[in-house]
Amino acid sequence: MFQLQEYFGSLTIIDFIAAFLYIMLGFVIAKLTARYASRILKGKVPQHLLAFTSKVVFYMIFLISVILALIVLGAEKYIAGILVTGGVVGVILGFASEKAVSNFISGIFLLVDRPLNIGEPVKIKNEAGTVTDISFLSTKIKTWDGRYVRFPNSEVFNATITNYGKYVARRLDITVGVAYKEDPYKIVETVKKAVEEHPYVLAEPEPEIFVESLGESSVNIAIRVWVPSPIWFKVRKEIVSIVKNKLEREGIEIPFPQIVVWFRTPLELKQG
Amino acid sequence: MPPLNQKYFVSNTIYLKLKSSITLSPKEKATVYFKAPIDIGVVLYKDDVNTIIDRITLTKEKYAIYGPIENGLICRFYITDVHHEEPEITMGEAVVKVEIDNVSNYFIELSKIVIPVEGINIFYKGERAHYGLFKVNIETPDSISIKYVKEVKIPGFYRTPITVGQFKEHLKMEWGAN
Repeated sequence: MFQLQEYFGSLTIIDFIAAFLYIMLGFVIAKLTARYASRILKGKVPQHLLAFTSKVVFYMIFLISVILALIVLGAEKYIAGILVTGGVVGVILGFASEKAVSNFISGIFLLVDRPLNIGEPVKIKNEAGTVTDISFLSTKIKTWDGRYVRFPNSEVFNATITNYGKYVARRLDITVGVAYKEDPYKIVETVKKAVEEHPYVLAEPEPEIFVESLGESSVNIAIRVWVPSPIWFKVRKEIVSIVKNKLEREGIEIPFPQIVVWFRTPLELKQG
Repeated sequence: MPPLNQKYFVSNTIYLKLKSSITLSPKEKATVYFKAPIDIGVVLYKDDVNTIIDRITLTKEKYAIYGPIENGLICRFYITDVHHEEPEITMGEAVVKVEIDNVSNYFIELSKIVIPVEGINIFYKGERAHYGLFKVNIETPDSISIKYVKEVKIPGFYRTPITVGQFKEHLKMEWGAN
């Protein structure tokens, strides 16, 4: 305590004001530079990486201003010690909060590996929705039914992630069953014409319509078309209706499940 | 206006599928014309700002991917004949003039061309519309560059005062043209 008093006693009010100004100026410059970095990188790097870079820039500049303020206060000989102490404390805290460190490191890996980005439709551990945030410690999604789900980054990193929006187009698979009495070639042509009329069913890769299997109650026709990923679900809803209406208009029967029952001995009708 | 789609997904190029392919010998040049779709834009002009509030498509609207599904381009798709003179067009179509220069040492077969149409003005005269000139430079079979020549004027035609999106002069057809 005596030493501290003695130490501060050697400083003037000007030194304190200068140190304070260094910190304030550093804060302002850090804010402005981070904002500028964010602006010039916007559109060039993914959104989550943009936020990350902006934070790194801010803390780096602010840290430099704090070190300068300490030098003004004559603490240059203690700075190395402070940094070493900070490092040791960091390591201790790290061990004490292993999960947080694990999430943090996973967060960095996620930023580098980029299996998902903000705004993309994904499925993580049976929860599907749109990614709303990827921070250092967690990843948040808004599920299709409007729930907020937060995953620790270590779980996201180790989980199987399905990203529905990573590629520009996605295939839409629909199977429709038609009655055995119908001509399969006519059906294939009819369905092909119907789906090709839709503007968002891509002309290339070409739609594929074919007889997929002979089912118990129906001949199953497979419809495989490619659509732009952002409107996959919209097109799916429309295509199902379009195909059903077209088959109905053409008089093609979509059968209900049916069972042919065979009797070992023919049935006899008895009049009572 | 060019048929750009930015409502559900971004499409700012036109994929012209040629009904008959064009074959060029090494160092050969050719000038051809295609037909490409245009849209009619409904524009609100206020305080010197053009805001497109709707677009009307008069041709069949279709899209296709140029390139692989992982990172290809979603383009407006149109099938066209190859013409050696300016063709007659119908409402909703515009003429595209293309100068092709095969600077490579290969025989090249072109069956498709992708043109960038974002930020360009359409030329019009009555019901006739014209995209202007595109230059196609073939360096290798897998490296074809398309350039829109903005300085070109079509005699007797007016330029539409409205452009949509950011003008991009060049496009590289990195997945070939066959």
